[in-house]
Amino acid sequence: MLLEVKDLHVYYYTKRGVVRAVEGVSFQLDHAEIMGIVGESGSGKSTLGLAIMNLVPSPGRIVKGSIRLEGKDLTKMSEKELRKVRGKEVAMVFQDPMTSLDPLMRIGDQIVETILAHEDLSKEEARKRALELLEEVGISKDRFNDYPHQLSGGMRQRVMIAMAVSLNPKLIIADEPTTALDVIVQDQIMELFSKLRDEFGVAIILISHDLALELEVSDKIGVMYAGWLVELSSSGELAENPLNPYTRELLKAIPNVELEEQKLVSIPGSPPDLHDPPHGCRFHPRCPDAMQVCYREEPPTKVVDGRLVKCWLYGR
Amino acid sequence: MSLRAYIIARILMTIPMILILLTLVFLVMRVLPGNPVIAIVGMKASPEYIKKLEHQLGLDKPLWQQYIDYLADLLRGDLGKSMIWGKRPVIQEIMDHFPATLELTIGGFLVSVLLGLATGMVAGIRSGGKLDASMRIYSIVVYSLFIPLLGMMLQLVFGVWLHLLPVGGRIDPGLEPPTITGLYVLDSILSLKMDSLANSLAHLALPSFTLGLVLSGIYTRLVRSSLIEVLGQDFIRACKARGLLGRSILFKHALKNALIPILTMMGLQFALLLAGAVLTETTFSWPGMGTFLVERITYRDFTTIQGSIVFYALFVALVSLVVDLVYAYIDPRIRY
Repeated sequence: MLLEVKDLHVYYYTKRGVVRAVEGVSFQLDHAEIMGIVGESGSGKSTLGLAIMNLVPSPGRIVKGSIRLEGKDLTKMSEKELRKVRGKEVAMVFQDPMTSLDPLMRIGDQIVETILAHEDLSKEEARKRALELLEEVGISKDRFNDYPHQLSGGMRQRVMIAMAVSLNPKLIIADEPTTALDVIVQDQIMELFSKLRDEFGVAIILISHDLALELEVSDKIGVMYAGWLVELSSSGELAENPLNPYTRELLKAIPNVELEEQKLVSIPGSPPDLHDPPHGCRFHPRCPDAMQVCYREEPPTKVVDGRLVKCWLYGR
Repeated sequence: MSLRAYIIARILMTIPMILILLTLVFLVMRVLPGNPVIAIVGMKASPEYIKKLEHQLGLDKPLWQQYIDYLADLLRGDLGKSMIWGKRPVIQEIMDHFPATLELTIGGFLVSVLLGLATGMVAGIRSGGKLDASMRIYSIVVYSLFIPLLGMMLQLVFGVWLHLLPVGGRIDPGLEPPTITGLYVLDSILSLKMDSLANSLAHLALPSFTLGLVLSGIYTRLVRSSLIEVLGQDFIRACKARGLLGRSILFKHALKNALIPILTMMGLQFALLLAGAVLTETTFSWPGMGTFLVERITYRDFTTIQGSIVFYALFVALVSLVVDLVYAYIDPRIRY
């Protein structure tokens, strides 16, 4: 097993009060596995991604739980030890490739810098590796000396990915890597991720609000709602037979171009304010299957046919 | 656009800019009240004598003719002759005084930038903390200091009480290095005269510090806010996620990006300093342009004043050109 997240709690201590952005999230990830994490804005999925690198921005903090990467707990590491994990063992690709590169530095130099931060190579060797990486992600070598503003959004994201794989990490966390890109480029980037997994055996956590996209590439999918992981199962099972009512509603909301009816389906209501989440189950105000107990008590996380689900429908 | 094309375009752009500046100076000097001839010879001179002098100075020609003569003279580097002081060429008079001002300006500029960067960075990194608060207080306090008062206090402490530093002048008599650039520090280095170097640096210390301390407050604030903004940007978080060292994130990425808006300020400040060093020059008996110009203005030495304004205008145009070129060097996005 590559990664084991156990009972993770991440809170933001803001002036308005405590925001429970991630609460009680547990999952496991194997080598070369692609796991999707899907949820609406503010469901805590990005915070979860940052937490795995122990990079939660202030005033946020990991308050409880453990994140074990091949047995080593990242939540207990010093900043110095973490620096060696970040980039080297776990790499991250961010949502907005426009703002995730230093605008004043040539892209090649940024890749070289990342390599040299972790490996004892000469500048020339690092440069050679950077050139190979650019080629690998589909960018011609003579773009090495370009500045970020000279590249298109898709190319910048490729640079980010080249940087992410530059040190052969075991895990890449991709936070909405294609949200800022158009659909065609989105497909190309997703193909690139699949290729990286097949060739290098890297595991990928793909964070997105786009369930259709997740279903295409992920082996398994975790569904987040208001800081909770409400369902976790293989992509196939999740699409065929969603356990949690929220997952079911999400699936309904995927537009289907083959259907006659062109109406967009959405889930009524909006995600709760995490300063003051609803009592009981956080989804109950929007849930079509809400029962008495859902108003009163937080649902337990149950294992049903080897899948995780957090819902009262499956009993105590 | 390549860097070279940008540089050429930017240099070409200074030509119309300078032409506008020169025209403005010419017009302002003609519009100002007071006949320069009467200012020279006094109210009691005979009309014939005044006519004769006006003819000598070319003031009886039509305005456009005067304008063309003025531009033609400038092209030859001729700023005219002083109306008093034995009719010395103005350019020579400026060259006697300007290097002193430039030396003081550079000194004050360096002190202000170094102090401002250090205090601003501390405040920016520790934003919201006690160090941040103290740096912000520092910036207000130093900015509101009155230069002559600060100068005199420093003279009292370091000159009179401690006998560590001279209280005025540029250099001790007899130690002047041979004139190459007119900047004593630079000339001493170029002619390898170490005693001159030490002596001129000692003279430069108090005035530079006085000027620099007062101006550093602006940089403290600017560096602080700019750094806080950059540190909050996505690419800094991305740098952390790449596992870069904290100090290399700060110096190689954050600070470089934060410096871009500060660079503009540096250019403006440098130009302001040239003109604004008068108080410092007076306090430290510094033989620069400030004291010189104030003196000439009281004597209504029109040609000298006009020449000095033109000279300053050209110099400021040069500074802004340099700032823009440095800009383009640091920020590749500007070349477009």
